Amino acid sequence: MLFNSISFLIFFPIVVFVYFLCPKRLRYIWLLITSYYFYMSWNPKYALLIALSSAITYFASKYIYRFKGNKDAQKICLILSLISNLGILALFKYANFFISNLNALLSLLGISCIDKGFDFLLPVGISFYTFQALSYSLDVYYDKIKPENNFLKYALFVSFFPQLVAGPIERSVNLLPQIQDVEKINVWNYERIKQGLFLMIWGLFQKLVIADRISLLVNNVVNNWTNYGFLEIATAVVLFAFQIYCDFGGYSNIAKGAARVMGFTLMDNFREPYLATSIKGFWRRWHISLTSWFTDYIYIPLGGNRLGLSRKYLNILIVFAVSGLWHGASWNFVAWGLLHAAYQIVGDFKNKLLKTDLTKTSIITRIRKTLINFVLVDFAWIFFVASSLSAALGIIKQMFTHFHLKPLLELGLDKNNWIILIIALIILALVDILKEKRISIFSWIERRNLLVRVLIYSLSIWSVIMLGIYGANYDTSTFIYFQF
Amino acid sequence: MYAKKKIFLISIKIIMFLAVMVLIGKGLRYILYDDSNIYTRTMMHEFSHSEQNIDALFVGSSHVYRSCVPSILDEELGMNTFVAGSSAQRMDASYQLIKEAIKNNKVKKIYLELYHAVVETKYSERNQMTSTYIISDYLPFSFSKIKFLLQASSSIHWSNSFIVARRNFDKITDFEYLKTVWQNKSTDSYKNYCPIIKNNLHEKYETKGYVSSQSIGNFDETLEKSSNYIDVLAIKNSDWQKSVLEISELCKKNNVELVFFISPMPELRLLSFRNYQEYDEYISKLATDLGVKFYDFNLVKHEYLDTNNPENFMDTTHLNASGSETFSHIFAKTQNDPDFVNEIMYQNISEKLASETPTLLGIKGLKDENKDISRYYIVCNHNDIKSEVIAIPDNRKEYLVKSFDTSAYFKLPSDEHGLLRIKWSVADGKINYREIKY
Repeated sequence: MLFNSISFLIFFPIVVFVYFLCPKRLRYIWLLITSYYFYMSWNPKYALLIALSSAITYFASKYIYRFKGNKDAQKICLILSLISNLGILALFKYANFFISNLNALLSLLGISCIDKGFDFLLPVGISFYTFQALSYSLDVYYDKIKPENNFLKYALFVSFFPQLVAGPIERSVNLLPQIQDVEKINVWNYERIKQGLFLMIWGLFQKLVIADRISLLVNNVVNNWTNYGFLEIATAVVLFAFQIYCDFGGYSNIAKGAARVMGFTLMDNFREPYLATSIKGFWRRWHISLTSWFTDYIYIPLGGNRLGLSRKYLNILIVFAVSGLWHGASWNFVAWGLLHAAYQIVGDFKNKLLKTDLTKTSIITRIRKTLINFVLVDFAWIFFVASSLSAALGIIKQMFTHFHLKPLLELGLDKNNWIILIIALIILALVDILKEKRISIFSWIERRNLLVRVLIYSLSIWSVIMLGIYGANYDTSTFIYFQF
Repeated sequence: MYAKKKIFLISIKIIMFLAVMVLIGKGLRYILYDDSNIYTRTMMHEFSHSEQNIDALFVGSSHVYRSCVPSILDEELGMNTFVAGSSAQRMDASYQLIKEAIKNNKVKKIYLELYHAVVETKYSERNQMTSTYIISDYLPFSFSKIKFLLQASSSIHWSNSFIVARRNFDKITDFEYLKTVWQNKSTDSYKNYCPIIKNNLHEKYETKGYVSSQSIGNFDETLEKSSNYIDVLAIKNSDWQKSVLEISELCKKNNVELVFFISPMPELRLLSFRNYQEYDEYISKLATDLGVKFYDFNLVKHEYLDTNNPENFMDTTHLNASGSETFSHIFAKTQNDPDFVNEIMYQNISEKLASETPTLLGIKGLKDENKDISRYYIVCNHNDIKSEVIAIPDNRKEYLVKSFDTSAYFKLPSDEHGLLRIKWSVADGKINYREIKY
C-alpha cells in the first residue's frame, strides 16, 4: 500500500478515526493491527519475518538487561540478536549478490559455478525495520534504555506503519516512550492534526508533483543513455538529485505528518541537504536516521576519530561501503558509498592541510561551496541511478565523449510539464531556504487571517490533485527507497 | 462552554475550507474543460430540464442520436420522445440515463439500441473513458452516480472520473488554451445551451438529442482497421449483458415497456463482420428470454430503406438526415402496426442476402499482423464472388496483390497508400470493376 494510492487514502482516515474513538488503553493494539495490515498489503507471508525480528530483538534485549553486570552474557545475547537479524537480512537481500560474485570468481579460476540462486522477493522495508529493531537491542546493551515489558508495544515500535517501509529509522529512545505513553496523547488536538495533514500534503507535493514528474525524463534518458550526450545526461542527473530528494524526503514528510496526526513525533530525516557546504555537512542533512545509525553503531564502536587519522579514514571507508551495500546488493551502490567516503577523506585532508577556518565564510564563498558540493553529490548519484556499475561507468563515459544537442522537449517532458516542474522546484527551493533560516512556513500561514489560511490550504491540496503524476497514462510509481 | 465554542469554531473553519475547495474545483473545471462543442451538454440539459414528461426514451450510442428523429417519432407514436444517446455510449451509461429518466418522468417505453461495437466484457478493463465522461460529467450528483463511476473503470481512472479538470491538467500553463476556453464559455449560446452547429462537418444538433447530418457517405475507401469477428461467446458473462439485465429489471419494476432494436447501417459495415448473424440470433434469444420485443432494422428490405445507397448515410456507419427521416417513419410504423414488420423485414440476414444481386460491397482493414503488414478483407454479399486485386500505390508502379479467386483476404504494406483496382465477377462470368482507396 503506497502513500500515494487510493487504498491509503481509504486506509488512513479509517485508522485515524478508530484510533481517535477507541478506548485509550486499546490504541496501541489498534495501531499494531493496522500496522501489520499495512505491511501485509504487500505480501502477507513476510509479516512473519517482521514478527520474528521483533520477537528475537525483544527477548534478546530482555536477557541483555537481565544479565546486567555480566558483560560476556550480555555480549552473547547481543551477538545472537545481531546474527539472526542480519542473517535474515543477508539471506533475503544479499544471498544472490554473494552467489553471483562467487560465480564470477569461480569462473575466473576455471571452477564450475553454483547453478541455482534464491528465488526470494525482497521483503519491503526489511533494511529499515531490521536496523530499527537492532538499534533497540544495542540501546539496551549500551544502557541507553530499559527494555520494554509489553511485547505488543515493542512490536508496534518495530512495525509502526508510517515509518515501517522507508523510515525514518527510529530510535527506541525517541519512539518507544511515545508508544509507552500512547494513552496520554490528547488525540483531539486540532492544531496538531492540521500540522500533520499539512506536512502530508507537502510530502505528496514533493513526491507526486516533483519527483514523479522528473522521473518521466530521468527514466527516459537513463534507460536510453546511449542515445544522449553531455547536456541531456547532465540534465537528467541534475534532476535526479531532486527526484531522489523529493521522493525520499516526500515519503519521510508523509510519514512524519501521518504520525503527527496521531500524536507521535518522528525524527527529521532530511534537513535541506543540498544547502550543505561540504560532504560531511551533506551527510548530517541527508537520510539523517541512517547516517546517525551508522555513526552510533558502527563508526563510533570502530573507534571513530579517536584512534588516529589513518584509522579514522579507514572507519569512514568501512561505514560508507556498508552504507552503499545497505542501499542495494550491487557494486554500483558500493561504488557510490566509496565515492562519498573518498569525498569526505579528501575534504578532511584538504581542510587540515590548508588549515581552513570553517566558521568564517562570506556569502559568496558559501554559495560557491554549496554549488561545488552539489556537483560532487550529483556526480555520485550517477552510480545510484544506473542499473549497474558498468552502466554507471558507461553513462559517465558517454557524458564526456558525446556532445550533440537534443532539444529539452524531447527528453521526456513537454513544455507544460517543464513549466510546472520549474515552478515546483522554485517552491521547493524557497521552502528549503526558509527552513534553513529557521522560518516555519506553517507558523507563518497560521498567523494569516482565516480566509488566507483556508485559501493556502485549499490551493496546496488542489496543486497536488491537479499537478500530481498519477492515474491513467502513468505507471503508478513506488518510492525509490522501497527497494532498499 | 469553552469546549463547545471551540468545536463550533472548528466546524465553521472546516465548512469554510470545504466550500473553498469546491469553489476552486468548479473554477478549475470551468477554465480547463472545454465542452463548448459537445452535443451531450445540450442534450443532457434538455434531458434534465424537459418541461414535458418524457414518455418514450431512445437510448444508445451514436446509432441512436443520428438515426432517431424526435419530431417524426412524436407525431407518429403520439408520445413525447427523447433521444438520450452519445458517441460510443456504453451500456452502463445507458442504464444510468434510464434510471434518471424513470426517476424524473413517467416513462412508458424505453427503446434500447444494441449496436454490437459497444459490447464490452469487463468495464474494469477500459482504457478509454471519453464515452463514459460525456454522460457522467452532466449527471446530477448522487450516490447512484458515484457508484456508476466507481464501477465504470479500474481505480486508475477514478481521479479523472471524479475530478473533471484533472483530465486537462497539463493545459494549466497553456494560456492560449485557457483564453480560448474562457471566450467559448462567455458566449450567450454556451450559457443558454443553444444547439450546436458544426458547419465544417455539415451537421447540427436539432432538438431532444437528435443530431442531423447533411453529409453523404463514401463507400469507396477501405473501412478502418478492426476485427471482422464479433465475439458472441464473450457476451454471455460480460458486464454489458449484466447492464442489459439490470435495465430489464428496472423497467419491469417500474412498469416500463422495454424494446430492443438495432439501427440500420450500411451493408458494407454489416457484412464486414463475418458472423453478424450469430450476434443477431444471440440478441434475439436474449430478447425472448427477457420477454422483450426486438427489431433489427438491418433486416429491412431495400425498397423501404436501401442500406447500399450512400445517399442515406453520412459515413460507413451512421444514417444522415435523409436516411434518419426514412428510418424514423419506418420505426414508428413498426410500433403502430405489427403486420408492417413482416411486410418490411426479412427473417434473418441470410434471407436478405439471398434476395440480393451478388455484389462486391467494399474492403475492410483488419488489425495488423505486425507493424509492417496490413491485412484486408473483401466484403461481399455472396460467397461465390471471385475477385482479383491490383494495388496502385502513390508514386509507385501497380502490382498484383491477389489473384482471381474466391478468397476474401489479402495483405499490403502498412505504410502504403493508394488505390485498389478490383476486378470481380459471379457465376454468370460478367466482369465488374471497382476502385477503392486504401
